[in-house]
Amino acid sequence: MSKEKSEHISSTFDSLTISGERLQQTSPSNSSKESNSVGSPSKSLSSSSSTSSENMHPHEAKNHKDGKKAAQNEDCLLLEGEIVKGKAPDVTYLCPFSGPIRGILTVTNYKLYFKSIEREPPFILDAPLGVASQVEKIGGATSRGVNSYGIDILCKDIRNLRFAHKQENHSRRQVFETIQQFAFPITNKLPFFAFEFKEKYGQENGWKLYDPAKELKRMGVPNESWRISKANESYLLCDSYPALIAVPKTATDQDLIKVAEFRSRQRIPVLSWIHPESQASITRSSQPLVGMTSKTNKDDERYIQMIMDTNAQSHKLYIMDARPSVNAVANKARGGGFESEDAYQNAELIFLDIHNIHVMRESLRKLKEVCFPTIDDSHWLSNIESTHWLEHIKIILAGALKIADKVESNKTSVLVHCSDGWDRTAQLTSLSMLMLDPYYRTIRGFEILIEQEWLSFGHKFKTRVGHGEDKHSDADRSPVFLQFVDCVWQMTQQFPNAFEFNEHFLITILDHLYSCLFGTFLFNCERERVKERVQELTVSLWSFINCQLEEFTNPLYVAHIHQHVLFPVASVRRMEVWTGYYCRWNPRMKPQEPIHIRNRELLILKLQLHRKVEELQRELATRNRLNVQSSPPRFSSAVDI
Amino acid sequence: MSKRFKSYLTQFEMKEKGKAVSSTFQSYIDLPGDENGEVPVEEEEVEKDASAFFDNLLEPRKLQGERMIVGADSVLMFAPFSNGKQGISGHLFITNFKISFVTADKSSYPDGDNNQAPQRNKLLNNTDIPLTCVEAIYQVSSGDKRRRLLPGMNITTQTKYLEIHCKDFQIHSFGFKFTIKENAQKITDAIVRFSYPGKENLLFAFEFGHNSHLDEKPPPEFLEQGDWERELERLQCQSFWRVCNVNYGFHISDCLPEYFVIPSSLQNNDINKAAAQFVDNRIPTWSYTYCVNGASLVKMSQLQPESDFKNLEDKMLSAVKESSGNEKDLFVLDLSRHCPSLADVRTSHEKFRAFIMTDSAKDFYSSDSRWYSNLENSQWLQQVSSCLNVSNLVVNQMIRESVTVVLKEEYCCDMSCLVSSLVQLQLDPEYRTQEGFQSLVQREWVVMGHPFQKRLNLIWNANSETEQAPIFLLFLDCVWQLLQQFPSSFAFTETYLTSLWDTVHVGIFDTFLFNNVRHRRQFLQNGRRLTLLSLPSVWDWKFHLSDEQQLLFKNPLYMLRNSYDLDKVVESAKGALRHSGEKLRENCYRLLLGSSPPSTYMFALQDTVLRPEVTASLIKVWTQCYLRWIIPAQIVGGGNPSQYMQQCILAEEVICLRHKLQTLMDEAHGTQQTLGDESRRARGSRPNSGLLFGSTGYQTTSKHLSSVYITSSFPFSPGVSQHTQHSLICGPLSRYLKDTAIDPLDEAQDDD
Repeated sequence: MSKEKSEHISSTFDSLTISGERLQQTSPSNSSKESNSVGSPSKSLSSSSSTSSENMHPHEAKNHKDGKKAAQNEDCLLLEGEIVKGKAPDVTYLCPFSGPIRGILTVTNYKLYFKSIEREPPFILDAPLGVASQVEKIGGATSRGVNSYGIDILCKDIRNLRFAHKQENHSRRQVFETIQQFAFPITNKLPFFAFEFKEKYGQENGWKLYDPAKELKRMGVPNESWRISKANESYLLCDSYPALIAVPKTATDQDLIKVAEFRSRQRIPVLSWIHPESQASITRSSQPLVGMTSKTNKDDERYIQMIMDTNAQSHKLYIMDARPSVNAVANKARGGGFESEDAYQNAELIFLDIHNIHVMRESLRKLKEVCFPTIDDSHWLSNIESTHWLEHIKIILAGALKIADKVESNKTSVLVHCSDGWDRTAQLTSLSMLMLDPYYRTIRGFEILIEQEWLSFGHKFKTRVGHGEDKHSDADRSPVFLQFVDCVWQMTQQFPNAFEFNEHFLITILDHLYSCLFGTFLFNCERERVKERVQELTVSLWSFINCQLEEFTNPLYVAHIHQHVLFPVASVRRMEVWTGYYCRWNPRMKPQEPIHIRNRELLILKLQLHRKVEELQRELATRNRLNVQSSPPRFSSAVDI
Repeated sequence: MSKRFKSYLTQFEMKEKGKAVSSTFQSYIDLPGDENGEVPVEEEEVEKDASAFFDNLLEPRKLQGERMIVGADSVLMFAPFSNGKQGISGHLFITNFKISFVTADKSSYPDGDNNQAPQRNKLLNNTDIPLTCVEAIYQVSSGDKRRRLLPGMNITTQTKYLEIHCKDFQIHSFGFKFTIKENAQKITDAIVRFSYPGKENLLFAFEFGHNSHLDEKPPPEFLEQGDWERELERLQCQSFWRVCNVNYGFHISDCLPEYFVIPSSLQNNDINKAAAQFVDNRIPTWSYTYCVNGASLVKMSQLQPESDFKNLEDKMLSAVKESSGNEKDLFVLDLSRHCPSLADVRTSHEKFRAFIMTDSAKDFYSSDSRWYSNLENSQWLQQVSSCLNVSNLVVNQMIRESVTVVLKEEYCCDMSCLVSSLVQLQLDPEYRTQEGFQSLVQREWVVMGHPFQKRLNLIWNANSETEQAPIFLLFLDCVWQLLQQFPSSFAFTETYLTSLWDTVHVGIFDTFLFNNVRHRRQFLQNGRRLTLLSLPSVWDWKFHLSDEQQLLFKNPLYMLRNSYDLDKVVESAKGALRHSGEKLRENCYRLLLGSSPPSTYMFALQDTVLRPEVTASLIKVWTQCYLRWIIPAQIVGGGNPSQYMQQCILAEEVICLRHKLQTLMDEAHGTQQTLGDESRRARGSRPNSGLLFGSTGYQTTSKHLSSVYITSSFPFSPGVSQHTQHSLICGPLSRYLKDTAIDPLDEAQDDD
């Protein structure tokens, strides 16, 4: 790393602390600490500090030097390609925790940036517009009362922002329209900011990280039972699947086409993971098109048998249907359904009881009510229970656990599907792979897991998150991916040494799920991303993350302890509300002495000492080689104790 | 909604258990039970085989003074969460100290030879239950009728099995299907009778005695004037407060110790006059002085309800005010208004136990979705939170306002102990060491007369339950919350706190057996059989816990944060950073640069005063203490213990490297001659960290390490047996040592 670059990194810490809200007077106990919060490790390391700031990265340093530019924008540092689109000089941010704050609001084509004018040190709030789910005007010309006239922004990241304008300033309209325009570029026929953002992160190119052929090769595919098919090369077999798919060797491309007819949206069963020893596999698909008349399809049955036959260890296959059985039955009315055990010899069907996207959306809505802005101390626990959020998390984990157990302990292959095979199925396959394979518990491995099971297999990120669209009540939105990340977080809590990444990593991923700064989560499937030339025109989130891995590394990670399967406990007793994410805007939720910082300090100390020991050993060795020319020992102060 | 999942997990557990359990006995345990309670003829054969298995007479190990009361053979001890389907057969004994299950079936015995699961306790096997630990006994008779057994009940129905619920949250189940009816009856009777002694002379402590052989200096007991004086001196407040002997011979109060501390301006005479006006004669007594500003903490009971002498209280309080070193008014806090009452704590604890303790996988899963509302209904966490809240309030008064605080409580022996101990922990780092914490508990709880015997309900009578309330557990839970929020501020770990709670129930330590100092003295001097021998103190950990167990009390984060040597390393690391050129900007240094210079802040001592957040979302369930026996909730290969182990490894590596560095420095600065034998020898040993992987621990525990598997219940629940598939999903503890910089022999490797 060049000298210049490291300076950039250290200087970004101001921006890392910006992260949404920097509250100066939080609780009395924090006051002394807060006063020097800028750049203090507790702030910069704090996992909740990821949002929005990241992006300013080296530019900020550039802008520091370019004093003129910074001054012009009242310290609102701009990214490459970012342009100030509007500004309101006298706006009050109604902070739910520390009350109204007067300041200047700047809106760019990427973010909104608010800086207080009366506080020292200043209060800064900075959020990418991509997090906005709904932007509303509050109060009208007849509004009376202080701060009753302004703009409300409901955000996807579990917070609401409210800015009061003075009617006489006539500033609201312009700000409102600018926010509307750039928060919802699709609605306004604008490109995502990601297409204008042109940062390079050193040698890291996140788009090169995931290479499907390489990943299959890692699992030994092609081999005697599995082959790589190019039947979907032009996305003609299945438009939401990747170009490269792995299928049983015995199945011809012609077979695949026939099977596709019997599977919802042509999402045929394809390989996700193979057990390195037993060859038991995890395959994924959509539901079979059984319908009211309980149709059967010989090609599909034969194909499932082929999958079963790839695993010589077992003469059985589990079909895990993620849905509650009632839902699966109800789907018959719409032409879908589930495999009948009579038709599929040696297959056992198990329902995993995971609810649909609508139930999950409602659950998160309730969770937001409970977590933001303030917490009702006396009913916190029962409120949490009434959201059923943890219950859902538990059931998803339990389902994944069951898959992992069948594959690991029974050496039996498992086919996973739900209705379309892009929501619950993605959750289940990726979580069970995380349990089975330590590879995915590394930072790069986890990124690959997301690329493979979520992005390439067509989890509809654009639709589920609602990127760039002003349709907050769209019934297709649902926190499916958030739920997956929450499950992963629960696992990291249960196994503190088993994951290479830390909480900050997970939060950063979630923040950029909404920010639309990187191309990674844009669009619904590989086909669309290829069409939009996302890899050429945007930056990958993994480039940003992988050029500063230390930020995202779990100091307690010990690869050699968990070489094998993790079986987390799927019980609400072991589930916790992820307050570091859902309640992170609440300054009271920040731990005063976060343990992850202590652990990290411990690791740094060890690395420092290790380094010095090595240095000294080398220096001594050199000197010994020089055959004791008895010059007085020279040591830099670096090794002086 | 998760019905299928339930059955799956049950199966999963079964599978594991099945492997652990001896197949010999499993075969007949699973035979369909007969509802009449008679052993069918076919089974007699099997039973003979079973008895033949125990040809050698097995007996529990006995302590001095321990007597066998009754025993029964062919008793089944059920495996936890096996629904009475699996277990091992053996002898169940009851002595005047414990209920003990002994079996020859070593293959499945948790302490068996094949599996060196750590023996936690030197006095007790893992299958022993001290009688004082028994909370409730349930009898399940034919038709699955379940009722709680209490002394004095006429137990006529035949017992199918007994469930013993313990104060350490464990449930033990014993089945009598193959036991001779008469023996089953006898032992059930005896267990009920001896678990609820009606008189003090039925306590095992009455019979037990031991020769005290403390190697180290015993911690201050605060029974002597000197201990108090040293504490006053440490806090630099001798001029305002004095130790008085007015209660010598317990003349004014039965509950107060003979020595305690009062404002210097008060004469013994004043005390004599005023004492009778206070409930239990508990006049205002000193607890602590914050030496920065002289604000003090004082406790007192209420005035007697009929007392007309309000002026005497005023007089006492004005003396307190005089001693606080400033003119500010006292802050008198009536704890009965701010803290939960005894009844609140008792009810809450009962509710809490009722849903956290289960021995049935079915119950476990069916109640899972109600876990959070059950928690809320029990109010346990809310009580923890309100205690911490009151303590925060007092802390703020004392340090922000420099005001002396008087804690007032009706009997001044429950919440006042709890709050004043918390305040002292929050204010004074001294009490966050193990020794300091012990002296705090000794002073505030034991000597100042928290009635342990009543609160733990050690002597049973029809009304005694109304006096029962686990105030001390509530306190330990509050301390645990502090530990969570300030992970490097305490020298001890949660394992220490849990072990302390367990030790409270062993029943042979004089520390937690009595209601007050006078009570203790009377019992020790006149109440016992062996008055010449003493009872051990809880603080004599060596007496009851193995060395390895004690290593788990040490907090590596605290150790490094408080290590003076470390400061130097950190300082020099900072220097290194400043002066270093390009080459330092490699891997490890990038860590520093990448996150602002943490070396400046590394292990920064924040404000030494701890102010915990008490908001509901940050008050957590102390899972180690409460869920350790709940097998379906056990995380195999994970949980807090795995984090702890890795911290120990890192800390030990730091110590090793520092030592190595020092050795190399000596070598570099020295000449060839001084590199003789002497320095080689000196180099051989690194400083003892006292941690599990430390240089001294390592040799003795390496065998132990390679047989122990980490679960979230470590070290309490008997380790995972090697025959189970757990060995596939997690490695033994020794695997943590792989690839570390820890060098057991600590020889510098690059001699040549």
